[in-house]
Amino acid sequence: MRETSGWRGLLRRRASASSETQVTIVSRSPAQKKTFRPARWIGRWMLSDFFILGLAAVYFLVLCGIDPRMAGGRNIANLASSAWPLLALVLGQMFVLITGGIDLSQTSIMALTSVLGGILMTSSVQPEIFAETPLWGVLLTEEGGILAGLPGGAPIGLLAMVAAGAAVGLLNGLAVAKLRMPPFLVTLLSMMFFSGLALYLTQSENIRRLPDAWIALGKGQVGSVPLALLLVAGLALAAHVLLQHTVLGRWLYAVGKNPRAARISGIPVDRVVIAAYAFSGLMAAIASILYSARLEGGRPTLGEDKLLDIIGAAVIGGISLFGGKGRVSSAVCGVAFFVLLANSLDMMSHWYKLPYFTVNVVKGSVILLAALLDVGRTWLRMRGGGSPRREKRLPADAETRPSTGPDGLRRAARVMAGESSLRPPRRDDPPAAAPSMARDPSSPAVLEFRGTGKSYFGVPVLRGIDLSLARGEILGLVGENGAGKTTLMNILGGVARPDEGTMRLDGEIYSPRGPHDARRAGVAFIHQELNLFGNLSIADNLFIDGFPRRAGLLIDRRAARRRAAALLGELGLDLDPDMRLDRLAPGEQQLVEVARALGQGAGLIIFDEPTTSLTSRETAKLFDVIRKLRDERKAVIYISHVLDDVLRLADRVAVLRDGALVDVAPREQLTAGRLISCMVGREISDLHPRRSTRPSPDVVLEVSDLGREGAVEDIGFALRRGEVLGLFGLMGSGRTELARLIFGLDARDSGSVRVRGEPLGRLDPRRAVRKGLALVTENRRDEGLLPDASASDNLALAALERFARRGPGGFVNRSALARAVEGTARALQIRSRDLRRQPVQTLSGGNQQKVVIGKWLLASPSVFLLDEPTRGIDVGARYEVYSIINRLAEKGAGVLFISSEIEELIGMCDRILVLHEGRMRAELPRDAFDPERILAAAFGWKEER
Amino acid sequence: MRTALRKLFPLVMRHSSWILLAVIIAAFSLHSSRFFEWESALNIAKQASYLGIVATGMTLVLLTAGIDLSVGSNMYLSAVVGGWLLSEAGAPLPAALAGCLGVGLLFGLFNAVAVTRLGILPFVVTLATLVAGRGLGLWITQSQPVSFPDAVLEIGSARLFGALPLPIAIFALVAMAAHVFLTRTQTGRQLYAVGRDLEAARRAGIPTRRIRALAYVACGGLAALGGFIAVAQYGNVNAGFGKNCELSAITAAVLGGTSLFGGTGSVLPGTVLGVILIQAVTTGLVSARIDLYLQDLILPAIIFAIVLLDSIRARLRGPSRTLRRRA
Amino acid sequence: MAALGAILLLAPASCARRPAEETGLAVLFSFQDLETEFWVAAHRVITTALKEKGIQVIEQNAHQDANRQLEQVRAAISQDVDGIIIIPQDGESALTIIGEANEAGIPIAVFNRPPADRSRPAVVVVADNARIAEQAVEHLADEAARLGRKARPLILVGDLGDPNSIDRRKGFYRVVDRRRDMFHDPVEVPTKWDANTALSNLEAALQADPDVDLIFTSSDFMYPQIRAVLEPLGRWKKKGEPGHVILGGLDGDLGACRLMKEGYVDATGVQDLFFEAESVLSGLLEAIEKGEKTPERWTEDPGFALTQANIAQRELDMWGCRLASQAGR
Repeated sequence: MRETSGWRGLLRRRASASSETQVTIVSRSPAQKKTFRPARWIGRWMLSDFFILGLAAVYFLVLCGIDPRMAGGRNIANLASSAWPLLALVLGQMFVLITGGIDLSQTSIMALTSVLGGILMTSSVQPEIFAETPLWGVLLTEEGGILAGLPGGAPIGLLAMVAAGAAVGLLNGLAVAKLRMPPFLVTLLSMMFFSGLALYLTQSENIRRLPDAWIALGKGQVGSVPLALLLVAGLALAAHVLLQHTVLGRWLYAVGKNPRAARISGIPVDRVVIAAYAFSGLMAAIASILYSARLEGGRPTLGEDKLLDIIGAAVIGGISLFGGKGRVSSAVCGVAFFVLLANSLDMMSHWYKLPYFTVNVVKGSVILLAALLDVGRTWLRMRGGGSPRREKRLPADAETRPSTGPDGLRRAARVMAGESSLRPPRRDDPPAAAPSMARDPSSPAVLEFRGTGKSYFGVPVLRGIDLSLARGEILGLVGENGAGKTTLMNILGGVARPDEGTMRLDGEIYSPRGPHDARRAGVAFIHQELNLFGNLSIADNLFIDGFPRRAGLLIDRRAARRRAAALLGELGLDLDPDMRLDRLAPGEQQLVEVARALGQGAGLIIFDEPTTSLTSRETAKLFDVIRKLRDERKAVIYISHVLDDVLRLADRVAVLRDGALVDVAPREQLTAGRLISCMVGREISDLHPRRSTRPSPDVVLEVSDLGREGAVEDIGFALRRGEVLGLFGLMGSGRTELARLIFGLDARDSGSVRVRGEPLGRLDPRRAVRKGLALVTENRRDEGLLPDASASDNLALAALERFARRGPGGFVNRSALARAVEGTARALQIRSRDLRRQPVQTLSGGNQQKVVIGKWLLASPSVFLLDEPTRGIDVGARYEVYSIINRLAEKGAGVLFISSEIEELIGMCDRILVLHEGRMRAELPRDAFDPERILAAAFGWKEER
Repeated sequence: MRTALRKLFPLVMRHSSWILLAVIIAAFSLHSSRFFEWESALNIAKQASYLGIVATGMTLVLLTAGIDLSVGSNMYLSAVVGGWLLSEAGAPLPAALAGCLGVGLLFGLFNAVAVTRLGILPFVVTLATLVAGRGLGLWITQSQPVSFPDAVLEIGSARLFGALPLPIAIFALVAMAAHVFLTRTQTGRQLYAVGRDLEAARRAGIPTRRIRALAYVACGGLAALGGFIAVAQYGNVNAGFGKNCELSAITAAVLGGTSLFGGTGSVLPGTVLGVILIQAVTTGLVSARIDLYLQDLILPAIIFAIVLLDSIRARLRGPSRTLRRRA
Repeated sequence: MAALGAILLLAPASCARRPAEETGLAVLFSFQDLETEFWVAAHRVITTALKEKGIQVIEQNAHQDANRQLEQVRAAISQDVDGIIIIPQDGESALTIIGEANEAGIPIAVFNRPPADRSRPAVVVVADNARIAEQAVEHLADEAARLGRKARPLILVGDLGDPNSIDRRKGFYRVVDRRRDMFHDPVEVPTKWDANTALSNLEAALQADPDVDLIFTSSDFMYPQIRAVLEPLGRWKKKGEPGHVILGGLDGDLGACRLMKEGYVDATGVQDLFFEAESVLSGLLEAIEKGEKTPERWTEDPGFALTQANIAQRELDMWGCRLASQAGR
């Protein structure tokens, strides 16, 4: 039984075991059980943090088998003494890597501090050598450095070295954080500069006669324990405590995982980044002290070739170059392996007389192998193998962008087909009966699904879908998140492959092997996330995989422009095809995507949630276009959560629930209520829950005369305790900008913001958070969440300091924090398999949104700014979000509820403000709510006020 | 007055690189009148040409949001093989050149496979090949210098139409070809798309693997060509040949406006300007007889200033909210 | 997995040769990157001589990292080698490494670069780079004196982190400063020991100061670059031809030998490679034989300047010429 043994069997079994479904688990005979064990054991080992350390240990034992002298005291001492300084370097580098940066300048910091320490502390120098140095007579004389004779000179000098290292790191950090320059470049230039400076200061000379206290650090022992070990072990311990137990540590990870979300959560991102670089510099100085002590001299060329070792050890230890990942144990493992590797290569040249040039070839190969291993481990982790403690990573939610992690991660994600969260089917659901096909017999089906099914890890995501679509028809497709809509469309669009069933296109069997195949067959898939490239022109985007060409090679730009203009014209867009795409409004971009599909001659076009970022005017325009497509006898599938839109547009509507088709009916027979009850499987009587309290007269947020050029002008309003204040405006009206201005994310030109009577003062999200503001942005993936962190890490983000004694450096009271986080998660009914382990990006959209709101609850703010809190989440989750908003208000918070959906504002708010082109056009109390008046004001019609 | 300044400022910022080049030339010319001569300009271009060719390849890789740290080792390894073909195997010059370029392409292919097929980070892959590649080269040469016959030297010192040094001509050709490739071919445009958003590019039906692989292979080939051009000027390769070349190439590309995050940048004027800028500064520092130690401090400082200006410029252009609203 | 370890071990094991059994002795030879011909030749002479004597040579490259070299020496000590030869990165690290070997009681020899002082015993064979450079430049200065005008000297400076280039620069300046009256300010050209940098910086320097009369290169490996720059200017001329640039260097490699014979180069500072190698080997082997644990021998290679004046007599004292004649035979 091949399938049940080895990796595949392991993965399959684990997957089914850890899901909560009733999928039959293959009964295992004892014999089979035995065959599982080694694979399982190795799998668990491979995923553990100490995998590399184990590998090093095995390797070491093998080497000792070859030559017991490997384990002799001398060699152990040698191994150890080369490990300590390297460990210091890698620890420092790790802090920078965690923030998503890189520090190439550590080597030059070593050189500089070594020289500096030498100059300060040497007891004498020869004038004929050093008279030309720029410091002669200033810091350096014949009697040595200025600290030479002083009592306590050595400690002061060593501290000065450390301070200098931290200072250079600080400069790097400032350039990266404040000047926003790429870390690679900043630290490359500082590497060039400071190593040049080190040579300049001593005019290339090494400095000898260091104080004994310094040299003792490299060679001395306390009892039989080397001083260097004590020093570095202490630092490693400190680094561990800092990373795992303090606010700053948590902040570091948050900054590395998502700097924008971190900033909005009130984390002083710039300062955290600067601190990381300063720490890296500091650790480089420590390494410099140890290395210099070993060689008994200050050296301007110290560590010139160490960069490879540092990065190599970090990579081998599994510290990600993309940020957000890395522990002290990774650094220790990486250094242990790397030092052992170097040592073993030296040894092998003794045993096998390896020629010296082979050493580098082997070293390079090992780094590659280690990286490959890491890719394998990531893949394994994604597949859910290994430790049973570790929660299986579910495939990314349909709405989440594929992780921006390392390529390996992306590849793995791709294996998972980037599909929606797996909701286990409810047992009490009867298997969906094949729905009746209301089909016009005169127009043959252009597309036909028959028995299409798909499972991940044995959990069915789609079951027996029978569905057809005719030319000249618009099919609406609705269902809750996770119902399988996107999976079905991915199968159609060639992104995923079905496990069972057939598809026919124009009567022919259709089984696309990739998006490319689908496109060639005339199927265009317009994803919710546009597949457009902001860095290219409109024409480039339209023809990116099929330019008109001259002589088969060069792009015929004139023809491209002409055809682009024609395509755009068809959709009523009057744009210059050479315009860069990122200059277009979102609605225009959406239409460009449609134009691309048309340009490719698509006969079947899938729209997945196309209106989430569109204004109603743009939506109307898009609908006109879609209807026009229908009139041109193209087939359209339209997926949306906005049921009114679906009912307005579609000829037929198909409803999916839990992977099965539960209803297909012509529009005429449907109402929103029926759709909802179909989707949810239960009745939702009222879309908007009632609130039990009334707003109190106390003002919690007062905005006056707020303005920013090009965004908003002259905005003033007051928000009261317990009030839900709606803010309505079309796309581009400045509603999002207003929220950002209030929160201090963008600089304002005029006006003031007061929270509970206190002016907000200097612009800084951190300050806003401290004063009691909370911002839920419209873009929760990019600005709200750390996608690959767990729900509980996300929930803790904004309130970390409240759970720490004494500021950012203080220890986090972890148990209190965990209790609070769990309480919040329970209160908000956040559904996650494992709050502490399951990455939040694998939760459904609604649960993600609850996490973003929950993050703020822990910080107990008095004002919530909610920007489109219900965007892209399904009906059931919406209701829950509404309930949460009500509860916030009931507890006395003021809520500014920004939305582009009039219905939810009318259903939820006490007052509604309307923005148009950055100005306040109307303020309506509850009894004056009227969709038409609101819209009129939003369009700027001057009948109000 | 203030409004005039306000208008002038963005204008200055937009062309900051050119203005800086002018300032640098002016400054050095004041110091030494000979700096401002045709021959001097030609020298700068000639000296920039080998690095320019390498940096052009690097630009392609950077555009895909990758990086290639191995170009220096690639230059060494391919030049060594070229030299071995010429002097030991007695191959004719074109065959040796083809062999040299072939090694470069293979080297690039190895990087490409490791990056696109095995899914290892470009930084790590090329760091490993940086180490291993030179080791391999040294294995072949046993650290001995490799000499090239005079026929190669003739190429290096040849002048096209008696005026234009051949290295410049080849550099110009490479830069033009890369420019046309990037702006006028489908694959070139797709390179930008891949660098901007790999996942979206894949969904848009772009063969992302092939495109990324192409960048690494081309970078490998161009590194070999650049190495050959350098060797052709003086006819021998010693063990340190091409060391740290990757850093110069990356710096030049970034100086020319290519982003390390992919999707933004150009060969013309971008990288070419960057290479010339660096070369002009180095040449200027040498001509002005600045203290050797200070030269190593001034060059990074100038590059820092240029990149800083560039990032300020980028932020000025920043999110064009105003523009969008008016559109 | 463990497979990784297995691969690591098996790959080299498969190409392993049995150590030479004749003497049973093993010597560590740890050097810095072999980037110039002098080092390559020294490496070859030393390793072949040892192998011929039936001694196992363990070669290790420290890649210009003194710390790495220290680790390599320590590893060798734990492997109970019988002797150690190092080419240290610099005098200060040499001293530390000697201390390490002394402590372990293993005889150590230092090749070419002198330890910072003589406080720790070792077999030391060194050349004074500054002194040899001085001799060569002295000859060049004599040549320049014949021009009958103030001459403009130029020096190609090596890597500023490398003590050899610093010493050679010192030697150059000793002569120039001593004979200030006959020289203009010297032009310094940085090369970082990189062929391409040398070429472009030299070209730039000559563009700015076309009237250079004398070029001293800190290493002979840069003659091809000098030629590439001078030839188009019409100044790559033999001694005696009009427009000849007085040319000298240091190392004494094959290229320098050829160019001396052809008459392009006026003088080159030569270290006596064979003498140095032999002294190191004999000193170390003698110590091993006698069972000395911390032998102390200090030999200096005075070096000399091979000039157009003495080339006829001393040609074969120059290692480059000797290697060339051996290759020719």
